Amino acid sequence: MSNPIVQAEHLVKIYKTLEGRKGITGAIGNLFSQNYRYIKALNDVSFTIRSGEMVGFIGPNGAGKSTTIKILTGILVPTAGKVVVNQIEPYKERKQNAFLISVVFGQRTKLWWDLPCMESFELHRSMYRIPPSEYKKNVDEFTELLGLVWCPINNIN
Amino acid sequence: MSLLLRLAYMNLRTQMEYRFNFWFLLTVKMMGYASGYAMIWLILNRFRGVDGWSIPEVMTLWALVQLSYTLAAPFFFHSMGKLEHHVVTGNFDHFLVQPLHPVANLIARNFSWTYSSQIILNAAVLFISLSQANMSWTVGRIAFLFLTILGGVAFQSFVFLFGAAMNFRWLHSGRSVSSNLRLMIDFTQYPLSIYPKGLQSFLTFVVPVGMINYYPCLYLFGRGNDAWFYPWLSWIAPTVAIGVGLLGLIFWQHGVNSYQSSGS
Repeated sequence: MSNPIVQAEHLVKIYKTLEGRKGITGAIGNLFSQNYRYIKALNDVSFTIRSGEMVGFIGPNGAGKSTTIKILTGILVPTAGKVVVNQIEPYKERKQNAFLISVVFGQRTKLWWDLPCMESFELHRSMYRIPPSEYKKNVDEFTELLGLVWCPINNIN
Repeated sequence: MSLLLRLAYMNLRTQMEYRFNFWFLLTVKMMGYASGYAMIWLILNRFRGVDGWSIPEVMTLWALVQLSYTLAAPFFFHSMGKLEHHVVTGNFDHFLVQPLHPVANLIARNFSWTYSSQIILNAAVLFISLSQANMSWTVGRIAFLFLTILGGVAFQSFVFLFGAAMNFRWLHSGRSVSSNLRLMIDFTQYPLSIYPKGLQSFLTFVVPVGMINYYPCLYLFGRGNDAWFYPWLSWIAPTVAIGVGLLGLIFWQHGVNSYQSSGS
């Protein structure tokens, strides 16, 4: 068996949200006393992913998929439990963790809106310390495939 | 480091794409500061100084505050100002999954180049005021002056960082916290000795805004007679201010752990 890359042990995440009250009297009431609602997004989640495994993570809305991913990537701090990715606890060493992983969220772009996308690629090249030869190879490949252009993103639409 | 410079450069390019805005801001901000100084000068001219402090000495007080603000603001004004939006929308996620310190990343992306004109103005006012004031220029005093400016920048950075960090836990609270702290700093427009003792101790020990300019200036101008704990409180003032700045950074980093990351 290959070594574990991702280990989640008894993960719990509780979100604290404001319980809104109805109407204007409710709104005024909120200013003086607030009722918080605690939402348990994750309840004792444990799993292990080993090197070389390709894993899909599915579930209905509100199942806690995003919450789990956000804990694995170091965005969120778990309320309880422990997570180890590449031998580090993501939220404790965010920078080191970010070097080793990649994550793409739907609807959110990593590109700079006002500048040509090549500039964004150049930036990520130095951010992730990709060797120039490898970078050039990838850019050429995708230019041929997709026809990447040198104009600002907001003009592409 | 070169990566951060690169981010700042891309940001400059972005800002220069909107050319009118760039020059307009540069001019308007300059005029804002000039009228602030004119205000103090006009009032003081009427009363011939305040509480034994001459006009150039009081102008020095305010120039120190303004210069430290304009030195901190290019780094923090937009980066921390936009943080609230990033937190509300959940966009802050990006800053946590990139291999850069989020503060450095935010600063580089939002570095403002339009403060250069005000920095020159404030530095000029500070220099002219000091040369008119009753201060003997020694190497030690010049070094102390630089330390004082550094402390001021750190203190101003604290206000930005502390206010922004509030947004992690209590959404939308950052702006009011920052502006309240700025109101405290406004007290330092005049020597603290003109205020009641209670307020003086508040501005010295609780929210130590006096460390930005009042206490250092007591030493620079050799005004030991009316001051508390002279001269050692003056000597440690820049260090205290730098400590406050570091506190802001620690507070910010701690705040990240309360981030709730909305959206999926």
